Amino acid sequence: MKKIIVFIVLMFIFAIPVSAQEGFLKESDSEKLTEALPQDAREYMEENEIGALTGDWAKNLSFSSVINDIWEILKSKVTNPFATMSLMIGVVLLSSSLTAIGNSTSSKTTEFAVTAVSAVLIATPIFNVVNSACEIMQTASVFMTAFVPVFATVVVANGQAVTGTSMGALLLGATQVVELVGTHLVIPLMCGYLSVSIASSVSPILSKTALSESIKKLSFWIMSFFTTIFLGILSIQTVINASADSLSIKTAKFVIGASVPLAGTVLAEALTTVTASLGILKTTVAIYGVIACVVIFLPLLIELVLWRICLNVTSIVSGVLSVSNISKLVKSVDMAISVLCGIILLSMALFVISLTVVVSVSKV
Amino acid sequence: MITEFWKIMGICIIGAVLTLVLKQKSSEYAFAVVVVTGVIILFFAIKTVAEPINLLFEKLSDSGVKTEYFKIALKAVGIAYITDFIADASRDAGQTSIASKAELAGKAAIFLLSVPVLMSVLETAIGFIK
Repeated sequence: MKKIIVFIVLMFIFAIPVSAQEGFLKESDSEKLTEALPQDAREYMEENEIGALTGDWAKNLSFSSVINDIWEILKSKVTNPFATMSLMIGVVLLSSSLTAIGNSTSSKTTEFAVTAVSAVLIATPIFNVVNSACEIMQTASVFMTAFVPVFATVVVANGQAVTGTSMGALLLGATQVVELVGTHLVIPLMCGYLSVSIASSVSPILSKTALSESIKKLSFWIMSFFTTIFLGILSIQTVINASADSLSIKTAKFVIGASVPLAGTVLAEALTTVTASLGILKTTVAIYGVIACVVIFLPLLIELVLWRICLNVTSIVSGVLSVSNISKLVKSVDMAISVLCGIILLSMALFVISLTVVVSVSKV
Repeated sequence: MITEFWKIMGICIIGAVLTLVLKQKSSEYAFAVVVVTGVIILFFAIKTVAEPINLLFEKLSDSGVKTEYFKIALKAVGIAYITDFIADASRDAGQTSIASKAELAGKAAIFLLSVPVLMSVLETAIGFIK
């Protein structure tokens, strides 16, 4: 009689995860996840039929198709940085042609006007890039807020209740912290630096050398601090919780095998099969999350890299032609873009590494 | 482009020789030759630069980039060159006072031209802080 009661209780316990998986990952839930993505990322996911439910799309994924997609992004983002670069080089050439006049007072006034023009030329598109970076960080946070509970449920349904619960809470917290720190602390710091750089290009009394280094160090330090602490805690917790989950599943198998008469061994094996199939689903959902993150952040990263290339070329040209004012301005803007690149890379790495840690460490 | 360059060089040499010859007889005519030579050189130089600049503007307009600020920079450099040319010519004629007045007028023109740019710099800097 006792064995029958234990069997019924165990049936209920293991029925919960399976029903949770069936209840959670319906077609409509997958659509909800897709809806949480920004417009461009959603279109890309739909075009390539990438969904959270099945991993069939992975068969169509090839190196050439990924390179082709990156090339398409490059083509769509290349116009603005290169057009600005050509204008900037034109301004640099104009400024360098002033040396023909010599050190007359009108040449100094013109140099001032030309530097102001270069500041406006470069600042306006960079301002748009910073704004879109803020928006992308916020949309990434919205997506992760929708994604993490679904992923946590799949992990719990996989029989890893402790890992799923702790990972879910930790990742949700990290998503909020990264978004808050990025958009309310680091990006405002960088914007302050950019405004000082632009102002100092037309007002030489402002010196920004010390300020630029401090802001760069502070921004990276803040983001690295949060990422390292979060990933450290997540890794340790996942390893410990995975062991606890593994132990509880093994105990459950042993109890089923020992307590259920005749069909005990078969039921224990069935449990292993169910866990393995849910493991596949967990990996599929995690990879969907990773790809969604990459699709959200990659266009911005490519745009930032293109900006850095163009700014460096302009800096080299202005350096060669000894146009120091424009060279300094371009270098300071490049520094701000490099910080932005760092923040975006850290945010992306945080999500991608977190999901990878949970998938790879918590295998039973 | 190269042909224009040789033309300019030729005009420079002819102008210099003419000035040297005329200076011994009449300094007024020599001054007139200096001014005319300067205007011709400026005309050829602008003609040479105008073509590639127009091409650049066309390309940039096709890509949807606003070129108004670049035009301001171009105008400022043009004003600086003309101001410098007039100021130098006035100095050559011994009119230092007129030369400094021309420079003052040039600086004022460049400053007026760059006021919208400075306003834009200010707005962008404030935009970053906001």
